[in-house]
Amino acid sequence: MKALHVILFAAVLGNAGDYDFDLDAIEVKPYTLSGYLKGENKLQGLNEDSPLFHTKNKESMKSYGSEGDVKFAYFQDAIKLDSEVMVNYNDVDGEYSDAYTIAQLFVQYKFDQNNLIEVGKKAPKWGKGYFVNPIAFFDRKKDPNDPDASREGYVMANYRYNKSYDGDVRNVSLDLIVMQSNDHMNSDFSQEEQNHVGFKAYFLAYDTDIDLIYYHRSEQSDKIGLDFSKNVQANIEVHGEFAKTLGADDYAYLVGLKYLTEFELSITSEYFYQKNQSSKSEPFYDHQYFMNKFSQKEPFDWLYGSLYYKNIYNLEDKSMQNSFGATYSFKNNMLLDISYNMNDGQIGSEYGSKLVQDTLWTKLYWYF
Amino acid sequence: MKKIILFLLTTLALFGAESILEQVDKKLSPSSADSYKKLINIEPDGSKKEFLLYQIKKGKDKIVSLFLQPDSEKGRSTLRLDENMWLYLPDVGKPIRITSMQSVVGGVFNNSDIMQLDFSAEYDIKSQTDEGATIVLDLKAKNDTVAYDKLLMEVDKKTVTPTATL
Repeated sequence: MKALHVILFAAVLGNAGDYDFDLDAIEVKPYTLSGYLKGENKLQGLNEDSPLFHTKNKESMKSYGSEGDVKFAYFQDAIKLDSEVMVNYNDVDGEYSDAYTIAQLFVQYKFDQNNLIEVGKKAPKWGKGYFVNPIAFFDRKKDPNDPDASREGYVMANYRYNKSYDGDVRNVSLDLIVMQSNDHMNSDFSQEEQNHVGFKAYFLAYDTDIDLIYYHRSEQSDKIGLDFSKNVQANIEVHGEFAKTLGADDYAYLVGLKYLTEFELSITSEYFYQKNQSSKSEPFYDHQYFMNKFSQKEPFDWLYGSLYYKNIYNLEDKSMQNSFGATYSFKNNMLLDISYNMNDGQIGSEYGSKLVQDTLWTKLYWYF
Repeated sequence: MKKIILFLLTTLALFGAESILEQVDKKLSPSSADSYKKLINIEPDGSKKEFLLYQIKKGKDKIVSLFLQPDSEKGRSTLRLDENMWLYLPDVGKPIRITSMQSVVGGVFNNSDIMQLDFSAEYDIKSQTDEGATIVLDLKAKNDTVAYDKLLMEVDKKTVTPTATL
């Protein structure tokens, strides 16, 4: 045992010092409110070999940024209003910009414990992969620098049926998504003005999460997808995704695993392949990548701290991005994250062409 | 004949009686309940970090926990169904499958400490020793999905509740 500890379970309200309960925290309210404020600073060395170097023509630059994210939900009987708003202010090398985004705003109505409908702007977040999700047909792409970050949704209607059972199939959930893209709504989702219908069937069968997906588009080819996730041992999880465009030689898949060692080193490894390249402006545009994240909780008995290393390797052009970082959680709901990030590769390769060669990135979060 | 009767009575006593572990489980929590729990992490230097969570338990194999405090953990929840465990992070916005050994918050306790199924569901009694006012149980995990392979539990005879677990 690396620390002497006492775990106390106090299930009864009392007035005994440590065993006091904050009554305000346990009072049932008709709403929830949470979020964070983030301040960040980047010191960046620029890549002379980048085709974008002429836009800066200097060795380095500094950036400052701040971000606010507020989540608010209100409950009234069978109705819930859910929202998320993001505000960003950025100063990138002296160029100022700001953005106000309603990431999510939808109403949920529960007909009964098995049936509900949600209408509004939301992100379904389909898929089991950590770095990338080939089957996330109704989501924006993840930011490879922060795959866990919130993403802006699209306007849609989502009906869900959910039922639990005893036996080898413990749960079945069916989702139906209906969405439209045109000049006035979801204009950045699809270049075609069309209707989109997605159907997802989820099963918890034999201790395995399984999703089967069918995606219909009125002006383009339909797509199918499937994913799975399972603990093969208590400390090893495996997952995978497969997506294919029907009637075309176009498919993508991902396989990965998560492994937790006895000394709490967490390893996430994934391999991603896609038959056809996507747009170079998108993350993971090339054919195949190997991605890894190593995270060590409280190394050398450094309480509430962690060290991490991330690597994204383009197997086609042998270029890569490496990140070395550390986080520390303060007691007053603050989190500090400092990392050093490097892009490496030959001239013309994906990471070798990036304008930024390396970054010292400092982020400070305050949660409320 | 007497030996056969004694054997049958002993067998009935062993299989018919509730084990001390099942009695401990009943004392610690009813089969289905909801509760607020406060976890206090005390570090060697004396500093403390407190977590407040709301927990609902149904039967022997279904538990859900929702963190209420501190603000950095607020909204984080875990769901356990038999040996399956998922973590929901508000920023991620979807449940992800985790292991029982993983800690979803900082501190020395892990998911199994928070989301423990009944002891009798996860452990067999390897041996028990009468220590006067207490009984010491040597417990062995029923399978390797259980977070801790072995436990030593000291049970107070009068209250049938654990006074220490190692």
